[in-house]
Amino acid sequence: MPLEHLLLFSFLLFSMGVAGVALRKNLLVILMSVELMLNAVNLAFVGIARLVGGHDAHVMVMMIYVVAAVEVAIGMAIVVNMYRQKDTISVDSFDALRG
Amino acid sequence: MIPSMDFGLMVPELLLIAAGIVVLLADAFLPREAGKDDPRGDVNDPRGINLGITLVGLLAAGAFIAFGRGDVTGAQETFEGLFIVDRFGDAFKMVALLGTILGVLLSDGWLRNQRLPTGAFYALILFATTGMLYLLSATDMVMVFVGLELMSIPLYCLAAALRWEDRSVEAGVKYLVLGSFATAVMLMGFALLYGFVGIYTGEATTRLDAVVTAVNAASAAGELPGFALLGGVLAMIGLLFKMSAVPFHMWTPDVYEGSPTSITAWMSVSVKAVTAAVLLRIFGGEVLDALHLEGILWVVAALTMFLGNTMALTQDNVKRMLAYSSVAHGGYMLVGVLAASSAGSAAVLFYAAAYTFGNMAAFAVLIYLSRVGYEVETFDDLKGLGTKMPLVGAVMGISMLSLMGIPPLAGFFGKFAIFRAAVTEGYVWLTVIGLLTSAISVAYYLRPIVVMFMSDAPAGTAKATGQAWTVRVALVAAVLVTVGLGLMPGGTLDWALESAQALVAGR
Repeated sequence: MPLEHLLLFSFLLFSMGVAGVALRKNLLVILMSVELMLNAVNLAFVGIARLVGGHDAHVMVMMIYVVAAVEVAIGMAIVVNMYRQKDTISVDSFDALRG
Repeated sequence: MIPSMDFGLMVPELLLIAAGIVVLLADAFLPREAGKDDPRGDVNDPRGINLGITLVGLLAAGAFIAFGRGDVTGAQETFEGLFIVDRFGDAFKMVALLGTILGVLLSDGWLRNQRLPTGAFYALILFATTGMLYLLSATDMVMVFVGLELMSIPLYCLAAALRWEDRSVEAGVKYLVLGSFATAVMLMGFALLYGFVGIYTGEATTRLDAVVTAVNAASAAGELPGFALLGGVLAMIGLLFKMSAVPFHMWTPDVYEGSPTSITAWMSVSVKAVTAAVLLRIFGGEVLDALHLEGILWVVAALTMFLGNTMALTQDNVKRMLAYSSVAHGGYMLVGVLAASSAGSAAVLFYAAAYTFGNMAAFAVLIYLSRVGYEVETFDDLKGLGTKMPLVGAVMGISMLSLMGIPPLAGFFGKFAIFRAAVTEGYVWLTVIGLLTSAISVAYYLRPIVVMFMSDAPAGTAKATGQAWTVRVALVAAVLVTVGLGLMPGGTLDWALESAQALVAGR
């Protein structure tokens, strides 16, 4: 598999994640989009590692998995708290701080 | 093969982790004071045991960095080069730890005012500080990533610490989403750079010095592929997000306004200093030009200085004003990152130290004036307090003058060092922009002083009394260092230059 195809696919996934973060209103979907971005990165790392060899990328992917899980755990805690507080998890409900 | 593992180099980080765990465990056994009719529940730790453990941990880590490193002058590596200890990283670690100590002292006052439990709060601060220290020792993509997240994830929680308040919840959510977005962008950049190194040299590695060497070699030979350039841009964007440089600053005012005041104070100084150090370590020097990032960073620095200062003009909330001011100060640090000579790196270090103490003094005043159930946040809240409490007013005045860059205060020498290094490296126009925007900043930094001294306090305003000793100590320490660094900058400047030479020599 040539590098271009691999990076193109990874970029496609990454862009879907970026679009999700930018366009969606539901916080859960936004967090899922961030996960999609991270998985696109994982794909790029393992794909490149398969082409050029070396083990460092595999370590990196493992680390990304772990940290992504931690991020989701924290994210869920904050989202659940927001739901208790505001009865919604839509980012449209943000009005306390003028952005 | 068993990799070399020298835990002796990692003692400060391990001390902080240990202190964090001890705080969490001790917290479970502390006697609790039942909160009477308080919806927030029990208030614990009236004797400040968690605070004590936290401070001991931070001071021990700082003492080890200051005195426990031995006579080694060069850089020491361990864990197969994943972890590096050098003068440059150690100097920034000291600045970050001092900022954290002040932040913890202020947090004590803030937590008392809010009647909040302390255990998890301090543990999160300690873990985030550990992340900062790891980040300052990172020379590998894996370590940069893990350190950055160890710093950021506790900060997301701390931003949302007032979980029954809309503003705090909003701050936490915005920080979480934009922070993890930025991390993902940075990782994509790392992935591309990793691919470039693997293809160009035939040896795939996540070590950043290998990446820099390969990029410089490829650029000199004119063989740098487009995807490597894109990788450099993405990696830098991720870090600029954390540094809240324009145009990646949108989250900053909101997060800084909504977060607990003491956490805002701490984030604005320590996170910024650490991120600037990482930018210097990864992108400082020749590689910036090789990756065609110099022009981008030039524009970002100019925009950051300009927008940060102009947006601060129109704010009514002091925390928000200081948030935009911190964006602007990030811009000045970026000028130093551009001029990444040893003088430039030293200037960034001195600037970070000066900004840490100057800014902490301003936030200390805000917390000093607040009390249970009442927070000083807007300019109206400050009205006439300078005439009522001249000493507190004077502290605010000194802090603002230092942030403005008026001699003979610390901020002046910070700005002077940055601009001198920038001119030496040929960034004359950027220096002109920096000077003009500093002139703009006078307008909003004078406002708190004018409001405190030249308007009458509303009827019934009382003097702030009964503040905890911690807040007093932080207030006095921050202002004394601000004045002291201004009157006697020589020793600290020399120290900064020595530390920076260690970085530049290693390039």
